Amino acid sequence: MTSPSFRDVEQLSALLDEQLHPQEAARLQERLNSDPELAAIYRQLSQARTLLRKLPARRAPRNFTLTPHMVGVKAPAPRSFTFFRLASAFASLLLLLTFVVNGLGQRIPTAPSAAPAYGMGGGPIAENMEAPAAPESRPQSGGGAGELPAPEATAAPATDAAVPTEETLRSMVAVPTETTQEQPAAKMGGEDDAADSTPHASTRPSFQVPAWLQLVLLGLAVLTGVAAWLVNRQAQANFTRRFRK
Amino acid sequence: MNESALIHDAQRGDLEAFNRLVLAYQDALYNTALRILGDEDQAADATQEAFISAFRAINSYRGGSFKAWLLRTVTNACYDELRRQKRRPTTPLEPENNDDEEIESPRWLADFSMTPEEKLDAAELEHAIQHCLEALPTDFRAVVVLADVQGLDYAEIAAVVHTPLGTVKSRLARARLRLRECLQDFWELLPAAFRLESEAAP
Repeated sequence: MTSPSFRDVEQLSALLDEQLHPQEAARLQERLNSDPELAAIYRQLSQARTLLRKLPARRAPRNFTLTPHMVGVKAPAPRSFTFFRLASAFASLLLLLTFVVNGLGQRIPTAPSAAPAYGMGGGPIAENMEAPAAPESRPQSGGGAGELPAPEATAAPATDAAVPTEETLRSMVAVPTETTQEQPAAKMGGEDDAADSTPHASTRPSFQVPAWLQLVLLGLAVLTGVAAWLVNRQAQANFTRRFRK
Repeated sequence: MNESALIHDAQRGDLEAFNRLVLAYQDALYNTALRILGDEDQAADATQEAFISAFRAINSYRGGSFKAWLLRTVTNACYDELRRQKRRPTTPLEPENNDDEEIESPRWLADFSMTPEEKLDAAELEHAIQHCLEALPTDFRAVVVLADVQGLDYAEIAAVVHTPLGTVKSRLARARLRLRECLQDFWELLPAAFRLESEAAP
């Protein structure tokens, strides 16, 4: 008879739980009958197990049921929500398209007549382009500032650039007034063709989405959007209420 | 209760079906957490955490004992809580009142179906066992609670605690031996009814 090893203790514990193979169990039972030390350990293990099993089972202090909020579950979207949402998106898209169409409609018809006019120095685009070019054309059209020798005229502002004097400020203010006065003169000076072409471009018919249609689309987009939001909110509220019961 | 139908519905996101499973298993999970953690509030938190994790991971359930699968989530939640406790200041093992005095009969020991004597016996027993359980290493504690409190078999325990069957067997034997040694210190305190020589003498 040898003193029990830990392997024996393991086997005894497994025997208690009926987790041993029948042959192993029978062999161990024989040893238990003949070995009092082994039998004592078996009793001790059994006592510990019995005590644990006698532990009173506690009832849960509360229900651990989950709420949608706990697990981030949202109510399934009702069909009407999907419909309203799609309708809102579609109406918004159409509304956006009307703006695009209107924007293009304003540009496309004027472009072909404006292009040759610009080349000939007239037309609405040519007029717009003329404004930044005015300082260059200013010396040709006459005036005191334009008659200054070029090197001096360029050198003086360069040195005084950091601190603008009263004269330079006055001349800067004077420039736009000169150009604005010059523009009618330039038009008068032989750009009648361009002036003639401008009214043609503006009177030419272009496709415009009527404002009432845009308003209808806007109303549809807003109404269906609000309807979708309301339907979804109601569904979520009903879903949450179901779990509060 | 058709458990597999409820599990199937829960896997499709049906929270109501899952909640019916919660009601069926909440006592088992709470008891396991209570025996591993030894604190009512922490056990409740771990149980709630376990159910939330279980719902989120329910699609990973591939059959077998659903109870064992749930016990795995609560055991993991308990391990997490114990790890957190190691990083925080320890809390007293005994329930205390506001004056830091030990409460003789805490609320959770109250059971109105018992006589005062029985209550006292049960309280002493529970106190002694819980104390000895908490003296065990966490891995041993989990195994012995799953085996002797929840009645799982070795294969289920192995699945719950992610360890080989042989390790479960070994941990359980060691845990029972240590519990027996520890309980000997309380032997005189234990009620006579629990001073059993053996439940199953050979």
